Amino acid sequence: MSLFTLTLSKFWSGLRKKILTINNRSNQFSIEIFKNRSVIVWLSIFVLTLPILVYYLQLSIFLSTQRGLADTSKRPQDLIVLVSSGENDGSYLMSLNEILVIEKTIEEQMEPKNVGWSRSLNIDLSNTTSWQNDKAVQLRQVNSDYLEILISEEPDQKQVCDICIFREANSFMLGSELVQPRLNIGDLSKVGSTKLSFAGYASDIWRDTSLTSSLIIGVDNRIISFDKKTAASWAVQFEAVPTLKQIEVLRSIVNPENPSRVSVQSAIGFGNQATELNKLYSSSNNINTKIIILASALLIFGGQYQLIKRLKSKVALVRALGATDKDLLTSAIIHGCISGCLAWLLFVLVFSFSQIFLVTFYREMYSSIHPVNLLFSFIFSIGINSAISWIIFFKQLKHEIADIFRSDQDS
Amino acid sequence: MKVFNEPILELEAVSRFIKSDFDKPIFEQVTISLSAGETVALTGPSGCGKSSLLEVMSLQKKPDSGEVYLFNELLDYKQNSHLANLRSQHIGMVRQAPILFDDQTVYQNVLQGLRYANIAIKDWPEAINKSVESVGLALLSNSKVAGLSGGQRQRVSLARAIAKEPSILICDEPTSALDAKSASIIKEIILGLAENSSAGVVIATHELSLAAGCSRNIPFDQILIQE
Repeated sequence: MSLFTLTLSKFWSGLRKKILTINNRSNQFSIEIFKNRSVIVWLSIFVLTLPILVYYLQLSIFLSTQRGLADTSKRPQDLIVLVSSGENDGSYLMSLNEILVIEKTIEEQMEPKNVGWSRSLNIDLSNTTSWQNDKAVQLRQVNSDYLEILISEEPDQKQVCDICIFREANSFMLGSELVQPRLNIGDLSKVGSTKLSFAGYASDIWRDTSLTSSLIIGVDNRIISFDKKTAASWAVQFEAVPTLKQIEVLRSIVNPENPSRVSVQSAIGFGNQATELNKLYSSSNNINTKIIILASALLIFGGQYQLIKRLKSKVALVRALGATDKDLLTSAIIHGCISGCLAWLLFVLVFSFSQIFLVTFYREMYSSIHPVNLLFSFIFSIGINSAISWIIFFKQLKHEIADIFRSDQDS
Repeated sequence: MKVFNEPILELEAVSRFIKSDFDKPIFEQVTISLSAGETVALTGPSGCGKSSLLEVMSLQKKPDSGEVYLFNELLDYKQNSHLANLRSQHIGMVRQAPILFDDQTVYQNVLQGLRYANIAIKDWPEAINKSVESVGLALLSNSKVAGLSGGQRQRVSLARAIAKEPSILICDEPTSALDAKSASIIKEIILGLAENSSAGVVIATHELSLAAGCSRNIPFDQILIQE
């Protein structure tokens, strides 16, 4: 037992001595590097200049994005609305069939990403009841954002909301009561039965008025013919912002006799940005990320290069005093770890400040950094710095000490 | 009179050429030896190759041809770690323009000379104090070297070189950048050290008084003839 203790104690003492020697040989030099006044001055200048440069670039990107957004918003977007004029003067009203034909023509000729239609009815949906197959179909628009279709055997029976339509932003959405929201447009025979169905438009871009217009409720509490002529509008979504020529073609399809009377509007709503805007957002975000990465890379490479360049003769001196390659390469890794931490800290400071600024003012464009990414960047920064530092030191070791002194003397 | 019969450093037919022009020698076929306790002065005009020879002697540069022996051991320049160990144990060097860690004190700079030598850490303070005292800087031991004069900086460099008590002390024009007073102090210290220790000292110098104090004075252009 005592022999074991003695051996263990000897082993520990030897190990401790070894660790102390290694620490003493390597750490000191690394720390000395940072004690050098000129290096600290240089680093300070760099540390102060880089964030300013990054901020300047970020601000430029931010401002140009803002300008780009303003410019893009002025133009018709990739989601546009064509409105056939005539609702007021009655000169260009059309039936549902005509509307559907125009929709089909747009689909065939323009090959858009999506197309939908709507009929504009100036009707009051506040509370209308009609009878269909001995069942009361009551439409009740609770407010401007909520429409209920209530179906019951008897008017006095407790009514259940069979179809609930509520407005979400610029669109009406179907309520959750319907598992399969399908209803054939204009097909009123199914209204009142449990097999209510909607046309596919319910889930398309024109969810709102296509549904209400398909029911076509008259002001006199009667369901009117869906053939009644109304003003109409079409929502057309393109892959990109349509050209003026495309707009003109669209106008001609809607009103061949007087295309200029067809108004074209952007249909950008909250949460429904055009592809063009999204592209702008993401490209701005990408550029911003690239700037941050470039700045960090510059900091790492430039910092390491300049630091080692300045310390070239000091490294040669340490070699002349007897430091082995192993000592210097260990120092290089320690030095790399220290500068990795510093670079990361600076990176986080710059990035965090800019993120706070950007996240606050451009919520849709920028998001906060995830803690896992921070941890990853920390490890990455230390790793890359250590590797660079190791390579630079290793390259130095390829030169003979006397050559370094001479080149330093010459410069 | 001292008798020197124990060579510690030997150069045999050593040559160095200008890197870009291998036909042009800096020096060629130089054979020279240094014995323990011997003081050798290398004299000659600027640019004759004295410093280049000292670079080879201090193991900081591999010769382009020829052989170098240290304590009768033929040096293998491929063994970097072994060369580093030899430098740390046996070689002390003083350059014309001393390279120091400016943000450190005299004491800390001298300590750098011991860091890689085979001296126990507990013995460092004594060795440092002794060498600092021997160059007359005991009072400035805790001063930053950045604030020292040229002569004092050279003395720090000398203290660093001798702290580990090297077998070979190589001085490359140690007084040429100094004023007369500082040069005289440095000269006295170097010659005194050579006198009182068994180290072999090689001094490249233009200064005749320094060369005269050495046990051997070799005009550089006569190396081939003499050896």
